[in-house]
Amino acid sequence: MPPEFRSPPKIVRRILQKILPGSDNHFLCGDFDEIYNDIFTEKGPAAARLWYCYQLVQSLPRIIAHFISWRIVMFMNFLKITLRNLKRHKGYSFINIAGLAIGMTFVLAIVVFIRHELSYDRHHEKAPQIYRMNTILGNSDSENKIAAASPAVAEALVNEYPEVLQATRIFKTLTAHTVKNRDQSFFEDRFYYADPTVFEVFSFPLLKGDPQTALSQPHSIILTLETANKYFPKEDPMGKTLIVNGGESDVAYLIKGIAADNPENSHFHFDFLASFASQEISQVTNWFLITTHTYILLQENYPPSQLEAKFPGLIHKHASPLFGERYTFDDWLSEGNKFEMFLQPLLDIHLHSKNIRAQLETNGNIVTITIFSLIAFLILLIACVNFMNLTTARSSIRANEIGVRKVLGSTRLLLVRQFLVESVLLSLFALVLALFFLRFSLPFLNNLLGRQLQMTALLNWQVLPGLIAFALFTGLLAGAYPAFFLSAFHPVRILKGHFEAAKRKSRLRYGLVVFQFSLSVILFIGTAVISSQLEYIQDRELGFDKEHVVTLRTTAEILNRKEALKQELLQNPDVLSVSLSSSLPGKQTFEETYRHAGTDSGSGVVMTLLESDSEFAESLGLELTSGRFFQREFSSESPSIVINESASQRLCRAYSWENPLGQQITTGRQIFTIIGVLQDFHFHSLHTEIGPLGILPLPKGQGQYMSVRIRPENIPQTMSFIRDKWITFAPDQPIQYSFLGDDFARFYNAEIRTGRLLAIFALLAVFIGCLGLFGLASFAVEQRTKEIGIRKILGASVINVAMMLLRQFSVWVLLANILAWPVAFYVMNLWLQNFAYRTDINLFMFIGSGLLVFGIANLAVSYQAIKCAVANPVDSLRYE
Amino acid sequence: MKYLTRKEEFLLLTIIRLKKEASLVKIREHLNTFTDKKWSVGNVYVALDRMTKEGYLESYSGEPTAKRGGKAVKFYNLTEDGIKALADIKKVQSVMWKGLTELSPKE
Repeated sequence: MPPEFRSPPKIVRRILQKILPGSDNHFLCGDFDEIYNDIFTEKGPAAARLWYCYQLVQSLPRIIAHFISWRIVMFMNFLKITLRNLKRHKGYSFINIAGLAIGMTFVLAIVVFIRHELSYDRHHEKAPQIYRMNTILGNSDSENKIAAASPAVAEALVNEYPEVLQATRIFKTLTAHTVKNRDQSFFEDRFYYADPTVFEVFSFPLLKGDPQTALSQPHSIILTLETANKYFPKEDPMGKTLIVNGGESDVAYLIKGIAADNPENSHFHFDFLASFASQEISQVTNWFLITTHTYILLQENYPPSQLEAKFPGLIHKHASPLFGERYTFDDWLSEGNKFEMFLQPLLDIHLHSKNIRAQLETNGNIVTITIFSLIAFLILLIACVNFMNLTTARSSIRANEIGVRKVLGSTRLLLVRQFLVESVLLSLFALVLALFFLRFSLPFLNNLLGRQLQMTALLNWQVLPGLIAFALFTGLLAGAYPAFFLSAFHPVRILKGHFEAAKRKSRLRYGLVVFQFSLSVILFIGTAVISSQLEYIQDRELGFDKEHVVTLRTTAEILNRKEALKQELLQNPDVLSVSLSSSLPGKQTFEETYRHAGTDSGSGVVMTLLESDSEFAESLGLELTSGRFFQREFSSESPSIVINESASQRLCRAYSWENPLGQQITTGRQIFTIIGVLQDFHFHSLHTEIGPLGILPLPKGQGQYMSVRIRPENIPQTMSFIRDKWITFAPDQPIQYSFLGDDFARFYNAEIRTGRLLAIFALLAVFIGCLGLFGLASFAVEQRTKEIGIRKILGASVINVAMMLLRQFSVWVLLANILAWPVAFYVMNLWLQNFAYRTDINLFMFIGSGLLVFGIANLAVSYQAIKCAVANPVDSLRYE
Repeated sequence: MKYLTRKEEFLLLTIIRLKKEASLVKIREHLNTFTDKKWSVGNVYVALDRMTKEGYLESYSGEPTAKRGGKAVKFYNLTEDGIKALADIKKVQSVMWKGLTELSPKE
């Protein structure tokens, strides 16, 4: 035998070492090495090497197959035991699986929701290269981020920077458009204007028409398929015309294309896309006129920050010509004013637009997503905790099995494996159940979230492996503790019948119960605070009459004969006042900075502005604190303005006036005299504080909204009267009306939604918690059957016994309350910071939620307690 | 009653014959010389391991040697069950073969 050892090919040797099954790895490798050396001495290195490598094919597969088959034998045994246990303890199994399934349903729902939220705008081919131009305007006090830019910006960007491959502008007016086709007409909200380049930047597939030319001429228009079917049900709309009224006059648009319907997960949806060239505003050169949404297509991999670095120079170049020599752009900037631009990636728009104004549509919110994921995760955690709890609590039932297994030579590792396999099987089962639950709750969920989520988001090959991994993870998470706990039993002691759940272990179990109920209490308190805040919002005096003001959208035909209509409406004694205005509380407004006329200095006051006629204050029920409102005939007056109290306070502070009445203020173009001060009223939602507001006289022939104040009596009759009159004045126009309060309430849709979701979360959390408690209680009762029997024989009454059992569980729930309160207080206080006007968190909410959870928990336990207390002691003592 | 397969029989017989030398390498060598078949390492190992699990064999480890890359060797030994199983199969075979003159080996 040669003294030295010849090593086989290193790589193959390593592969063998890695792949050969655990226990015999060492011996087998040695065997292979030995034979290699034998062949080496007999037939030389080549033959030996060849033989060695050939073993990868010849021997390895057999050995591996052999091991797997033994694993399967063991696995089948685990499976059999699991199924037997499920069958034997149906109640426990139900609680275990149902709890886990509900937790999983939540996680799955959140996964579907998040996948949907993240999919926004990804359908555009060049999505990662598309950015939106956002503007920051402000002064030393405050700044506004705006999702738009001046119409002139797009051209400048393309001309001056080669890295900007293309730019396109999307424009939407604040007014709804009336679109007419022969006999039918509709109000259209999703009416957008766009540059022809829109098809180069975005991927909006055209079903008909040429994307190059469809929007290149003024007064051309593209419809979506759905809209085309609405206006031209059975004909080809191409080349036909639609009459569009955007607030001023009727214009004919030629249909030059049909676009596919917009996918739901898009940050804006159009029904009509008209050529932007049709609007005069597209030719504007003033960089301060922030009106159009501008999107640019950047070169691939070009860092946006590099382009952003060039913006200050660009702005300076284009903004300076708008200022005179005496007061330059630099002077303006040095007063603390701000005019900046920044890029926002298209893919960020849906989730990261929280503080950016003038969005095309309401966006999602990354914070909501985070909170929902957190809650879903917590609910899953509760379910897992339940699982752990029940399994460990039932350890006495399994103890004999474990003892026997150990005596027969099962190692601890094998037992751990058995229990893990068991819990993973249960969790896979729960996953299937959860998928069913989700399938049936999706329509309801869609309704709550205002989205169109679909199961297909889960059932595809990218996600399914993830789901299975998720079930495995849940199974391991829930099964790990019981597995190690159960496998640690001492076989001799168990089989001798000395089984007792150790005190230390039960303390952990109770801890887990306390944790569950704390979460439920927190969720209930959250629900209570949200609903109380919503109630507060509903009840708060807004400063105007929200109950009895009907608002209507006007059209050109109405505006032409508005005086006559007003008179007609006022004929009815139930109509108190009629007014026209450019905006209403809860609707969109614009802002401008006003300074004291005559002094160039001072940063001025940014005011929300609207325009109205003389009856506005009366119609809405606004109160004047000083001065007067507009007179009926404007023409005799010099330009005047009515401001609210907070505007008056700020102006007085900025220019140290004693009385704002009669003072003159200006934006730089026109000078207005302050003629009246209104009491503060809520123009925007209660999220924000009441800011400075100015009301200007309504220009002739304008007024998007008509507000009609009616008497509280006979509302249905008055409403039908208004509708009839309206139709006689505008026979072929659609009528759109609502109550002012309802318009305003729309601000809080998100909060109402969150409140409802939280209530559902809370209910389910407490449900899962109770399932666990119910299981634990029945276990505790079972363990004390004998004790209770003896107690009863010695004279304890049913009530005594029931109370004794209830007391034990009540202590945990009380403890849960004490832990939950500070957390809930902190979190809900944070949430309330969203509102400038908010209710107080009061102790009652805490006590109420606590009592609720306490009551539900006791209900779950008392069934078991009473059942046990009523039982005949003879039966319970005979159980040995 | 379950009888040994022919392969199992061969293996058990080889192990008895090898006495204290019954390692996988030696068993395989032996089988390769006594039968016309080529036995692969995997084939032998799987059969040995299964019989160990079924209780016909027991194993113990020997000293590591240089030739084995410093790795220990595993020796196999028959258990009582194994010896009994061999005895059983021999009994059955002798009964089955007995008196069949057509098949008697030409000597």
